[in-house]
Amino acid sequence: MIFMSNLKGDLKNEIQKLIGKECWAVIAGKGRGSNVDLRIGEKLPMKEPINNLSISEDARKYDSEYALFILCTWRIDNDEKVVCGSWDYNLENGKMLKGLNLLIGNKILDSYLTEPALDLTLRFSSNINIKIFCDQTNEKDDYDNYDLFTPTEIITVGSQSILKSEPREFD
Amino acid sequence: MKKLRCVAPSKEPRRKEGKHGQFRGRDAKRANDSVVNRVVKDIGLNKKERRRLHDMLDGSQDYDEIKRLGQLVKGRN
Repeated sequence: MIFMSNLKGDLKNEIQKLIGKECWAVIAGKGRGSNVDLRIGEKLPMKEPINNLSISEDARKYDSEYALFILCTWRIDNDEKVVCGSWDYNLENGKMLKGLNLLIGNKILDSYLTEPALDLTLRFSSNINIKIFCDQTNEKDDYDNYDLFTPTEIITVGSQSILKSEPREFD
Repeated sequence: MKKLRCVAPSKEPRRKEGKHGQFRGRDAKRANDSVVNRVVKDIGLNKKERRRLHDMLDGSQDYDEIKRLGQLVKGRN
């Protein structure tokens, strides 16, 4: 694992590269608590498909060029109202999955990274935003806030928004 | 003038229990996140493995089953 002062620059650059890319799968729901994985960009075939019928066929067969794995609090808003958030009912047909599914098939139009906490907002086509709030601050727990999987590395916004990175390997 | 008094905290647990004795709402998600985080730490999954484990969950697993899945993911790499 690499700790580098220029990781913030890397994170900003990689988040910029998300613009124009489509979110084609969201993995969340039953058994996954508040955690969400957004698959973004090109579909990359997996060597071994995932044996889990609770996720879409595409998500079982393909990994993604970029992924945003969210482990902290988040919320989805459109221009008029709050749609859902990390603490909503997460079973099938529940508020959480209905809201998250609105992201599927939409392209990222813009991104906003707020310092120093590195809270992230992604604005999607169809005027929907996902807002990620880095609330993992407890040193003892040492839980991460979110991981950005890029084609070459995994950038982690860790507890207290401390950045870490490691190379990304594909199956 | 009536004197305001502090009300003693209830002895009832703050967490709401669901019909199967499991937590509901935010507490349920926190409990769920906490079990997965415990497995991740106990078997030392890296970022890629952690995400793969997330793909494999479907809500039917308890700690031991999640741990078994985690070990399966770890063995794959």
